[in-house]
Amino acid sequence: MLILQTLALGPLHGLGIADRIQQVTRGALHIKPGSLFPALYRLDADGLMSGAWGESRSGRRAKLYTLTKAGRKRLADEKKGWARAALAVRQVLEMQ
Amino acid sequence: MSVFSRVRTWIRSIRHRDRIDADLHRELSDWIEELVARYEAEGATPDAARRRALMETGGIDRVKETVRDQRVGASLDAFALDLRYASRLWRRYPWLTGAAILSLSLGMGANTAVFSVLNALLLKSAPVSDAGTLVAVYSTSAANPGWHQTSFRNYEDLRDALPIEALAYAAIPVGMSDAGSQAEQVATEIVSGNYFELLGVRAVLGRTFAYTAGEDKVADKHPDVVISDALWNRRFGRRTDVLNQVVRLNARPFTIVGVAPPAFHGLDVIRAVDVWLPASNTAILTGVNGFYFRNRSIGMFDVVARTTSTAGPRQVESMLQAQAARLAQLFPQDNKGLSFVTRSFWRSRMNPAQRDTWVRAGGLLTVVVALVLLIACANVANLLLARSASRKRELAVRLAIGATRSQLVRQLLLESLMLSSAGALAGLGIAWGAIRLLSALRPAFVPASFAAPLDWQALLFTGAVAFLIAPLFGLLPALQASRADVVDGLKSGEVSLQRIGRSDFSLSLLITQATLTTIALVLASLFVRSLLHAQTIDPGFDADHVAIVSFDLGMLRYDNTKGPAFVRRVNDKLRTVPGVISSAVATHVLLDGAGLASKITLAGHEDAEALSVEAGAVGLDYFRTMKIPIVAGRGFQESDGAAVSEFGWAVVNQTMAERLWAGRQVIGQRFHVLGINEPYIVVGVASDALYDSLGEPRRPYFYIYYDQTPGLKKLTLHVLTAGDSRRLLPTIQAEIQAADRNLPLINARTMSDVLRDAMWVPRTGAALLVMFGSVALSLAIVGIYGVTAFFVRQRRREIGIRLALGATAADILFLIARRTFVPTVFGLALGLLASYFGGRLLEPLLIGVRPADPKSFVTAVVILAAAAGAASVLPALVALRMAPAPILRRE
Repeated sequence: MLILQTLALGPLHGLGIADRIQQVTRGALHIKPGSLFPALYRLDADGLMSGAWGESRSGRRAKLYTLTKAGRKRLADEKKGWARAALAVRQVLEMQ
Repeated sequence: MSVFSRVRTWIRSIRHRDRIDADLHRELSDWIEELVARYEAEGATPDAARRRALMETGGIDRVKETVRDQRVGASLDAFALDLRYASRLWRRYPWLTGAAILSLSLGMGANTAVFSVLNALLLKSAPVSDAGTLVAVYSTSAANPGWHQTSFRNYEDLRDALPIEALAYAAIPVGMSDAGSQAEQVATEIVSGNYFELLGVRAVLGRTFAYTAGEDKVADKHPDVVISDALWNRRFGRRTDVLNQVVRLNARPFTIVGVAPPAFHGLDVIRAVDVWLPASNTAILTGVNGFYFRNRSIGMFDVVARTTSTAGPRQVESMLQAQAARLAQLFPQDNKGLSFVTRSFWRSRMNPAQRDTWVRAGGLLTVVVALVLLIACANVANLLLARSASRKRELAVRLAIGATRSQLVRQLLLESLMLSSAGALAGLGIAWGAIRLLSALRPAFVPASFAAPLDWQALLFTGAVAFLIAPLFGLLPALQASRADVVDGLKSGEVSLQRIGRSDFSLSLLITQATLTTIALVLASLFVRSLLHAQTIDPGFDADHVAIVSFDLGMLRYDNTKGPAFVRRVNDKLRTVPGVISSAVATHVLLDGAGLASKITLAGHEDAEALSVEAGAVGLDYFRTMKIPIVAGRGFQESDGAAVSEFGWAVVNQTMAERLWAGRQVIGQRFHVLGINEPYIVVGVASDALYDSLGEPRRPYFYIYYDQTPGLKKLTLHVLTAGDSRRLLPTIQAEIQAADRNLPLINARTMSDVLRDAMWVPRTGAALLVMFGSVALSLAIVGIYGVTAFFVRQRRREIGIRLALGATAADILFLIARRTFVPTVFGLALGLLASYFGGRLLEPLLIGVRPADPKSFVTAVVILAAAAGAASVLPALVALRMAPAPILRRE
């Protein structure tokens, strides 16, 4: 979900995704390639995003990942699900 | 992710595996390069930056590995690897693998063959539409319980009164002739007009008939027949102009209107029907219409009904009950206590009593082949256990370099599965041969058209068995192997036998195997000797040139004058037929049983206990027709029939003469038959014949004269012919029916058919037991060989040392032979004991051989000893050829 959300803002390459997540979470989540690439492979295989060789913002040649239509839909679903789950957890936690 | 897209991704990942890998590699190196650049920009030295980047990513290959595991096909890749690994093992242990596959294929072949036969015989449904909704309907009554056929009148009434569809069919023997070719007997069924329509069977050529219930009653309206594909092929060469061709059935003309599909042979599983006649035209055929269709008390038809969504099996059954009660009330003398019972359709494809016998025999056969398979599994388990012990080092290496225990077990189980699959494949070949053998041995009452094909069901069965037995023989060795101790395994290539405790296991296995094999061999030689004896038995009559046709004059309510008159008419007519030498009726058929049981007392000893002796009533010329020699006195003569009142005349057989009047003049002796007032006077002595079965002991028997007992109405006409008696059968049938068109003929065959059927038990018994005996023997050889070879391998070091210290070849041979010899002898003894005591159960099946026949026992001992010796000497010789030096150097 995190990767999908990151990509929702625009195509990124692998390191870009890791950087973005680290940035947004202020270093709380540091994603190593060992976890990122298997996830990317799965998302690609599921057709939620597609990768193509292009140029990164720094001008380097890199494989850029773009969210597909199915990916956007999945992201929306997951967000809803997460919100529900988070709400439920919060309600439990705030129970006195 | 849908299955489809998963498969697509998997295919893509296989096709583009290299490209994906290269992509990933490039992506990862780019990642690292970028990090390096970033760290350098932060001021690190190039080396330090690279080191930090690499450390953070955890290494390219490591990442690639994790991605690879994510692939859809990852487990399949591992599977393929295991497969490759297993096949490599096959090449490394070719003999052991071959032995295992051979064992399994023998066991599985036997199972598949038996399954195919039993499936075709007992389980298959007929190729009709929606067989699941069909039920068979039988008549039964309290006085006459069981599953009986139904009369056509009762069938009509239940069909017309109930809101269900039902059909009826009955078999009649019919001779077919046409202008072009020879007359032959064809298996014919009279069927109700709705037969094909209700079953949903369509003609492949022309049409079937679909006549209404009303039309069934109009005699002679449709002289149509539908013929089978087999008959079309055999007699008409598949010509399409067969349609509308006129054929003669029992010399009456019929028109062929259609050909049934090749898969459809009628509903009876054994009897393959060649000709179907609609019920309406049987009058033209035999004139039996009147009898078949008017008589309500004699059931001759099998009835099948189709259930519907509104009238399920339960409703049909209760409707039938109500209808039976009504019929019993309406026709009290014909339908006394009548009740209908239903049976699922697939179980109705054989006469229920006959089916029960087959189910029992089939069950026994299944148990036997299942045991054979279990022996085979034990055998293979033993072999694998031996191998897994010697593979311990290899497995320890694999564990040491990081294979998990479950991976190892998976690998070993896959190997077992591959073995059982290979065994299944080879087993199919064996099953094919076994089925051919069985069908060559079929009894005369099973037509050649009865097929037990190796169809998809047999394949499925074999596959399932292969899958089920793989863990059976593979699990123990696999678990054993996975317990391998890494350090210990790496240290030495050999393991002591005792440590893994397989010694006891394999020892008891060898004993069991030897025991079972001995039993199988004793049985096989008993049955072979029984068969050899049976073939030399003289039945006491001439079986080669006698045709027989049975009928029941009671069916036509013939009285005591009409019956003999009919017989005389037929005999007179047959005498004019070219090729007929003589003919006579009898109430029994020799070798087929059905003698009249009687109790007799000797004249002058009426108070003594009566003796049970079987008898048969025979007509004039019977002894001449059957070529049974009269050894004293005379046979019956025409004038004997006249003196009905005071005496009965009797011809006794030699055994009866010897037992009752030994050393006295037999002719003229008198005896009484309980229940008959007139005493019998012996006029002649006939030589002994076989009356019930080939294996029977000599027994007393006597013949009385048919003309004196015209009340006996179930008769068989025996006709001695000059040439092939089978060729005259249609003519004989036609002549009988010419004497009375209404008389249904029950069975037409030759005495050589009877003899062949009598030979069926010894022949099939011998064939089956020799087959299973050879399988058991082969398994024993494989087992003994495997164990010995393994032993030699394990004791290589010891043997090497002994040889080096100057042991002779004989010493080594003794060392090795002792290993297999002791358990084999032990098992042999157990097997002989078991055969000796268990063999008594087989007494009724054996002919001229006692169950404790010494020759059979000796044969079994010699064969097993020779096989065991050969199987253990071979590896021992290999051991002797080993040079001690290299073996010792390995230490």
